[in-house]
Order: sequence, then C-alpha cells, then structure tokens
Amino acid sequence: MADVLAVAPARPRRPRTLPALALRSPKSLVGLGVLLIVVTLALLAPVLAPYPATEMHALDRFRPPGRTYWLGTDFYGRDLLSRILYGYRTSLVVAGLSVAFAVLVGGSLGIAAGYAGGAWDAGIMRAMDILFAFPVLLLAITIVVILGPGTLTTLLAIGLVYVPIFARIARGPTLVVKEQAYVEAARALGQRPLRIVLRHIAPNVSTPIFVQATISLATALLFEAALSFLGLGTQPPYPSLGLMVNEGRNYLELSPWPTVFPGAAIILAVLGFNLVGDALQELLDPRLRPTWTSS
Amino acid sequence: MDEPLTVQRYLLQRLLLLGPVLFVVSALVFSLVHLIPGDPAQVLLGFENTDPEQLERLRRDLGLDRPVYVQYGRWLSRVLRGDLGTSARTGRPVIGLVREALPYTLELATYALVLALALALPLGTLAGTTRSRLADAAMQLLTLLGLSLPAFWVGAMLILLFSVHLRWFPVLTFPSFTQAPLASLWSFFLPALTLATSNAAAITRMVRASLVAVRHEEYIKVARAKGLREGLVVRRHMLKNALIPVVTLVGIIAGYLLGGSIVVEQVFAIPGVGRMGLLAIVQRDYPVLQAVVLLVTVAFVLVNLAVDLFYVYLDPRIRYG
Amino acid sequence: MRAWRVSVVAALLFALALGGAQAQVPAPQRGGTLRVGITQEILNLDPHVATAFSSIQVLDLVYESLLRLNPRTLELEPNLAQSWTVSADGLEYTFTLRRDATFHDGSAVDASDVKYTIDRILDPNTKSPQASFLAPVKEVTVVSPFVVKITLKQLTASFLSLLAATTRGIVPLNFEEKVGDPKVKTLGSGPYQLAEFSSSAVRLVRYDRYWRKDAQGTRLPYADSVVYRVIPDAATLRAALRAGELDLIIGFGVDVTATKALAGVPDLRIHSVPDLSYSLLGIQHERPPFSDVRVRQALSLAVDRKQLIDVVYSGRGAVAGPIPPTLREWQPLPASQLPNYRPDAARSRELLAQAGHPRGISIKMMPIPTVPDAVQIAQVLREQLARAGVTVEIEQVDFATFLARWRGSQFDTFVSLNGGAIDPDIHLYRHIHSTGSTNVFKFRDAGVDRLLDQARNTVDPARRRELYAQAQRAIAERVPFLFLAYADLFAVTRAPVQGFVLSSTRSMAPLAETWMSR
Repeated sequence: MADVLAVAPARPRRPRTLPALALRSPKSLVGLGVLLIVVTLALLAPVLAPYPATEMHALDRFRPPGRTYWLGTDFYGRDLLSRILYGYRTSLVVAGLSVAFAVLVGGSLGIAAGYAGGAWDAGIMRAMDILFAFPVLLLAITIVVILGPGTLTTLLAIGLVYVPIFARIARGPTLVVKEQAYVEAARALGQRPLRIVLRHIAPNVSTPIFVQATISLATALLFEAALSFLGLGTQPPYPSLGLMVNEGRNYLELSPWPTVFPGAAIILAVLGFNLVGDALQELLDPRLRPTWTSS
Repeated sequence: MDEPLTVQRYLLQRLLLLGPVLFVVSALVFSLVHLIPGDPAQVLLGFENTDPEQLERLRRDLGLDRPVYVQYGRWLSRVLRGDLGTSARTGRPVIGLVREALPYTLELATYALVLALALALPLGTLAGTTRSRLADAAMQLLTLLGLSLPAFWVGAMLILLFSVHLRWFPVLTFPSFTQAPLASLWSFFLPALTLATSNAAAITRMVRASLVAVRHEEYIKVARAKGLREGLVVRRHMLKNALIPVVTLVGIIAGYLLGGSIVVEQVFAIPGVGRMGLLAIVQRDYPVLQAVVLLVTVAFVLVNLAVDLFYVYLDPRIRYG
Repeated sequence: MRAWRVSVVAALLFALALGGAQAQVPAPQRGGTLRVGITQEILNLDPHVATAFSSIQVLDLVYESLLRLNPRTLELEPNLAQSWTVSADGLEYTFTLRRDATFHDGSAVDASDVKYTIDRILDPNTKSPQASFLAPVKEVTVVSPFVVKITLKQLTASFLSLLAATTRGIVPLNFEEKVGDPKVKTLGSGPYQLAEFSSSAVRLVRYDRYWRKDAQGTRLPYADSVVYRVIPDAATLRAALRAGELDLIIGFGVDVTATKALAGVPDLRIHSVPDLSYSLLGIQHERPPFSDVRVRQALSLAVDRKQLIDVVYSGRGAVAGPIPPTLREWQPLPASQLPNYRPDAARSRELLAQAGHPRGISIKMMPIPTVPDAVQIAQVLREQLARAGVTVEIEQVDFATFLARWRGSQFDTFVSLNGGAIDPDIHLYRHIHSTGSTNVFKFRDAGVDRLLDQARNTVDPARRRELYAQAQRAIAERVPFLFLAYADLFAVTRAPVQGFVLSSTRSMAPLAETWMSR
C-alpha cells in the first residue's frame, strides 16, 4: 500500500488516504495528540491565559510556580503561562506560514523545472543549489537585518531558506510522472501545461511534499526560536518562545523557570510535528530520507 | 542525459562549478549588505558626534563612496590575488581574524561530529538490528526528542548544571588543541555535546533506516544462509551498504558545522567563525562578512565533493550520469 | 546618596570585622595577574579615534591625560601636568609638566608631545570624534620643554575637565610613525603597556618605569599584568567569575539583577556606585506629534520613573534630572522640584487632548541593542505610556541600523544610555544646545540655548551654579528628551582582589592600584 503511493504513480491518486494511514500508527497518534493540545492551547490562548501576555506585575517579579501564577513570572513580573500560550500562537503562525511559503514557491519551481526540462530545469535547479549552499542562518539574519525584524520578516526569511528543499522534492516525482503514458497522452491531446500540472502532476507531488512539510514545520519552529533567541525574530514585548528563553537565560541562577518552561514548550511542539512527520514518512517509504537542517 | 560520465570528469565538473557558485554567492551577499541601512564608517564614528564631513571623509577612506559594483570589483580583484582585505571595524587584516577564529570552529565542528558519530553508529546499529520492538520504539522516541531540542536551550541548561552548579567544566577557557590537547577536549566538551545532540539523533535515525532497508536484500539473505554469524553479517555486509545515505547526511552536517554554529558559539562565548559572521553583519564589517560567506560556501561545496568521492570507495558500482 | 551610604557602612563593618585580628589594612602585594571580564569587543586601540567603551576600558591603563579625575571624589587632580595657571581673561592655560613621566619607549613626556597630541586630535585627517570637544582650542604653544600653553578662542568653563579623559590621552611626537598602526599597537605613558591584542582578549604588562607611587612610596602598578577577556554573554561572564576563571567583572550586563544572582556565592565582593551616565528616551522634535511641547510634557508625565527603576534596576538607581545626583557641587535639583516629573496619567491625557490628540497617539520606540537595559526599559515604558493613551511599538534594530538612524535623526523615540561627565557643560551642551554635536533630537530652544551658552562662558562657579539651576528647570519644562534614570553601576570581584575602586566615571585607571592577596 505504502509503496504504491510513493513509487508507482500509475494513476493520479489524491493523498486522501494519508490521514487514514496516519491514524493507524501509534507514533503518529501520539504526535497528533500532542499537536492537538498545542494547537488548542494556542487557539484558545485569549480564553485560557489568566493574564494579558504583556501585563507587568512590578511587585511579583521572578515568582516561582504557584497558585497565583501557575508557571511563575519573569523579570517584569509577567505571567509565564500566559506568555507561553500566546508564544505558541506566534511560533505556530510563523512556522506554518513560512513552510506554506516554501511549499508554494519551492514546489512550483520544482514542478516547473521538472516539467519544462532543459535549460529551465538546469537554471532553476542551479539557483536552488546556490541558495542551498548559502549559510542558512547567516542568510536568514541578513534578510532580517535588511527588512527590519518582525513577524513578517522572520516568516519570509525562514520560508526562503526552505524553498530549495521543496523544489528538489517536487522535481523528482515530476520527472517520473511526466514520462508516464497518461501524461503524454494528455499532452498529445493538446491539454494546456497548467492543466496537466494541476491534474496529473500536482497530486503525485503532493504526498512527498506533505510529508516533508510536516518535518519542516518541526525545524521551522526551532528556526523561529533560534532567530528570536538572537533577538531577530518576534519583537518584545510580544511573547515568542525563543525570545523568552533568551530573556530568561541571563537570570538562570535567580529563577530557572522563565528559561525552563518556554524551552520545554518548544520541545513539546517540535516533538509533536516530528512524531507525525516521522510516522508519515515511514508509512510512505521507509527509505525516504529525512531532511535535516541546522539550528 | 549524455553519455555516462567518469568519476574524474564528474568531479572536475563539480570543481569547475565552485567558481561560479562562489561568484554568485559573494556578489549576492555584497549587494544584499549594501541594502542595509548603516555602514562601517558610521559604526567607526560611534555616538561621539554627527559631523557629516567627518563621515564623508571616512567613507572616502574606506572606498564606500564608490558605486556598489565598483566596490565589488575592487574586492573581487583583491580576493583573486589572495588578499581578503582589511576589516573596516578593527582595521586588522581579515585573514588574521579568520586565522584567529577558524581553529575554534574547526575543533568544535570536528569534536561535535566525532561525538555524534560515536553516539549514533552504535545506537543506530542497535536500533536497526534489534528484534525487540520496545527497544526500537524507545530508540525512535529518543532520537525524535533529540531532534526536537533547541541548541540554545540545551547549551544554557548544560552550562547551568555542569559549569555553574557542579563545576565540572571550565566556562570560558578554550585552549587550543595543538597546545593542550586534553585541556582543550575537556573545555570544548559541553559546546561540542550541545552541537552533537541533534546531529547524533539525525545520524542514528539514518543508520537505523538504512539498516532496516538492507535487511531484506538478497545478498544479506544469502550471507545468512551461508551460516555467517549475525554479528559478522551486520558488520561486513549490512553496515557497509547502509553507510551510503549515512555518509551523505554526515557530509551535509559537516558542511554546516564548518560554517560555525552561530547559536552555540554565542551561548558558550566561543570566538569562532559563526560569531564572527554575526558580528560582521550587525556591525557592517563588509570584508569580514564576505570572507565568512566565502569560507562557509567553500567548506560546504568541498565537503559535498568529498562525500561523493567516499561513495565511490564504498560502492565502486556507482557511476555518475 | 543611599548607595554611597550603604557601601560606606559596609566598608566600616568590614573594617570592624578585620579590626579584631589586625588593626591595619594589609599592605599591598606586588605581582600576579588581574583577569578582567567585560562584555563588549575590544576594537580600535587608538585613544583619539576609538569610540567603543571596551576599547577605552583598556586604554585607561595605557594612556594618560594632563589631568585626571580622582576615581572616588571625582575631583580634578594633577596628572601628567603637575600644575597649571589660567590667565586673567580665562583664555590662556599654562601647564607645567612633571619631569619623571616617560612613554613606554623610555622617552620623556614633554611639551612638544602635548602640542602634537592636541594638534593630532584637531587634524581633520585623524578623523577623531574627540575633535568636537577640543573645538574651543585656538592654538597650542611650547613655552619650554616642560611648559605648554593652550590658548582658547572663547571662554570655556569646562576646559580643564575636558582634558581629563583617556580619549584625550597624551601620545608622543610623531606618534603614528613611531607606533606603526595605532589601531592595534600602543605607545602611551600609563602604568601598563600592551603585550597581546586580539578582539576577544588583551594582555597588558606592567610598565616598570611608571612614575606614580603609592602612599608608602612603592612604585605602581602592583599587578604584573592585566588580562581583559571579552565574554559577550552576561550569564557566561558570571559563570566564569564563579568558576574562578576571572577576578573582576564589569560593564554592560553586570547589573543589579546579575549581582543578585551572585549574592549567595562565597568569596565574591560586589561593588556599586551611582552612575554618571543616564538612560534616556530620545525624542525627534521635527516629527509631528513631538514638535508640540505639550506632547513631550505628556510623555514625561506618563512615565513613572520610580517604578521603572524598581523593575529594571530593582530599585538601585536615582530618579533625577539634567544633572547627575552625584555631582552635588552643581546642586542637582531633586525630582520633586522639577516640572513634569511627578507621574500623572490623567494630566498627561489632558495635555495630549489639548495638543489635538484626544484619543492618544501611537509612537515607535527603538531601544539600543548594545545596552541590555534598553529593551527592558522600552518594555516597561510601553506599559506605562499605555495608561496615558500612548501606544508604543517597539522596534528592535541591529547596532549599525540604530547608529545610522540615530545619526540621521530617523526615529520617533529611542531608548539609550548617554555617557555622563563631571562638568554640566560637557554633560548637557552637546545633546541639548541647538548647535550641539550630538543633538540628534533636533531640539531647538532659544531660552535653553542662551542659558547653556552663558554657563559655558562663565568662569565664576557660583554664577555658573545659578545658571545651571535655571537651566535644569528650563530643560525639564521644555523636555528635549526624557532623563529616565541614573542607575547604580556594578562590578564584582573575587576575594583576593584588593584595593579596587569602582568609579562613577567607569574608568579602569584604579586597576593600577589594585592588587591580589595570596
């Protein structure tokens, strides 16, 4: 079953079987459970958060976890729990949108390269190689410095770094499918390229892309945290998990909580995506290589 | 596709490509940094005054008054003659700064890679050959957790625990390996471990996956049928074949590590290439930034090339084409 | 000053504790290495060109100026100049140099060196940022080998204190030819000379022929060498001190919260002193809402400086106006006597409404990235200003962007730290006068200008004090920018470090008299 999906695209299949498959793996069930919790917390942040995320309580600085502040407070006396809940929002939105950006841009470029072939293929893929050879974090930092920091910039910077990954993934299956009899038939019938791509190629490309996207979400969360940690991501006072770790780290000996909890929150969310991504990958093809990015 | 290429021709082609890649990357970075507000002349003058004449004079001295493409041309012609230029901010030759920073990054990268492999090869082999589903599942969870750890957080926690509370490791002395090998290994342990964690997890997973994939190949079955002991089968037949994708991954990791890990160098205050690059960006030290980018890109491309060579050694059947 | 009193009491207690066993202060011991941890990179070592604070921290031990500030009392003292006279019209300063001071190459410090130094700073080719400070100088003449005369263009009451700064340090005649590259090599007359220099570490060794002696007649400095280590991360810096890898930590990041983290650690001593530098909220006066003085007053009234100090500095700082509270001889007005200092959100809203902003205003605020408190202050200000209907958007930019925008006056507001000076003229004029060299705020007020000019040209101290009393009120009234806090300055030493004096000026020169007990 799994092999059929990835290796022999005899007929265009929609990846609708993917969720069904995912529900059969205990690993992905755990992962989905974790993600469900994380996403719910993020969505319901305004309802669940006991305090506004930026509200300072000057008399309650560095409180340990307790009844008033469940996870304690930070340097400014801000409630850590509330900040983590809102921090999840920022992190998930940035990671999600940057991966979406990379999927759209990278995926289109990869399909275009594979489908058009020849000089187009060579040109696009060489450009991707160059982008890929760039020192990732330096590239992202340069973009952030040029455009000025902020959520939108972070999103673009991370997205751009991931573009070549998706271009490569999309190109492979496109090359295979392009040679299939039914695609050649469609072409012979004079169907327009866009239609062929959308009807025949995109469905075959979408499965590996979906899997890669899940894994990329995990690394994008880490990436966003690292940028925020360096002070180049989300801007204070708005909470972001990486920024919280950075703000807390200077006062580790006074109170470890402002550093420990946001760090744990990052790990939980990333682990969720990793579990699901890993399970999907295994289900589709045990040999599919995980793509790895540095943090 | 054309006729199959020989290995030599393939490598030559890749090497020839290095030139254009470096050209494009450096030109891109050069024009990108000039888009950023601020320049080295302003950084040099600091907050002491706002005299525009003084700024202009300094700009002329640094050649910043010329159009970007002229500046790039000058830089390029110098680099082609082997001169990386002078750091605008410190007034020192860039090559000297690189020589100061590179040993830190090299040792950290090598150390982290060795640690990662030392962890990953046995663990991955264990996970890939075990018959116990529980052990396999535990290993998978562990490695996924390893992949989910933010390096800056791990680093902060390690410092807090081992340097501050237990005082096992020094905090900021990083003696050079050539002068004091043992002390050097000791003090680089925590940063190397931080850097190794996620990489070890990734390699473990790759080893496991590759072993699982070859487990059912014909030649393994034949080897088993011949009555070879399991340990020998794993070592002689499975590992060697499973290593190919692992080598790719290790190559990519090595390429990244050689560029310096900005985050780990930042957390542990190691004056390596990564931090140098970060500082060069925020202080607009164009010549230093260019040198770092060149260095990182060359390292990345060369390591990938080395990986390709290693393939041929592992599996002489591989031909490029 | 509370902080002063605390440290005096602590010193007394310390003396009493020692008193039982040993009535005298232990005699200084020679030798050893002082390892100093700082947080910022050491860049240029040219005393007249360097602007990085960390560079100056190193140069404080390598170069010397004509006069010096006593690190404890902040009074002007003879240094390379052993005495001086001022002409009746106040325009001619004649300095007699001491004869036993030598540069590290052994040559004597003489009048031609002083002339060369000042000419070098003023030479446009040097591109010295210090040139604007010495702008009043008309000419320097060598009277005799050890007597030099400086003639001024106009009366400048603060002239002597202008000369007491490492950045106006005396270098030998033909300095650049002698030293080669002054950015990376040094040739001064200070207690230490440069041995090794990289951007992350500097090693200085004792200059054996240094002239200054201690009270017992022992030649200074005590320690054989001083090593500066740059550790950009404050948490790592502290960990290194705890681990015994450093003897002294100082500079940005060594703040009250950091020292609290070290409070329970045995064998560490925490030093603190009120700072001359102050944190400020810079305002761009040519941008629409801020050109109206009522809007600026509204900002000042909306800020609760006391609370700000409580949160960011754990209460260790002073609410004060244009003159540092430490400089009592200049009679700094207490906050209670300054207009627009008592927090009043309602009045603030009223003023905004009068200025045509009944629904409040939205402003941007740019904290300087190199001072860790700045972003903390910005976050607290954002909360406080919200109560008065001012919506703040914090823009964190990188260092070079901040500089470019500061220089080009491209900001609504920014949070930063302004270096302080012991003379109110140096402290205020360049930021606030309409022709000031760092008036990036574009503040222009004829009344304030007149007061600052008068005070600058008045030599009589009593009359000057009177003028500055008026100036303080006028400045608080017209709000060129918000003086936020004069926070306490901190340093932490390990127990063996003796005789270290933390100075309000942040000078590291006292390290010459610091020693290690064994």
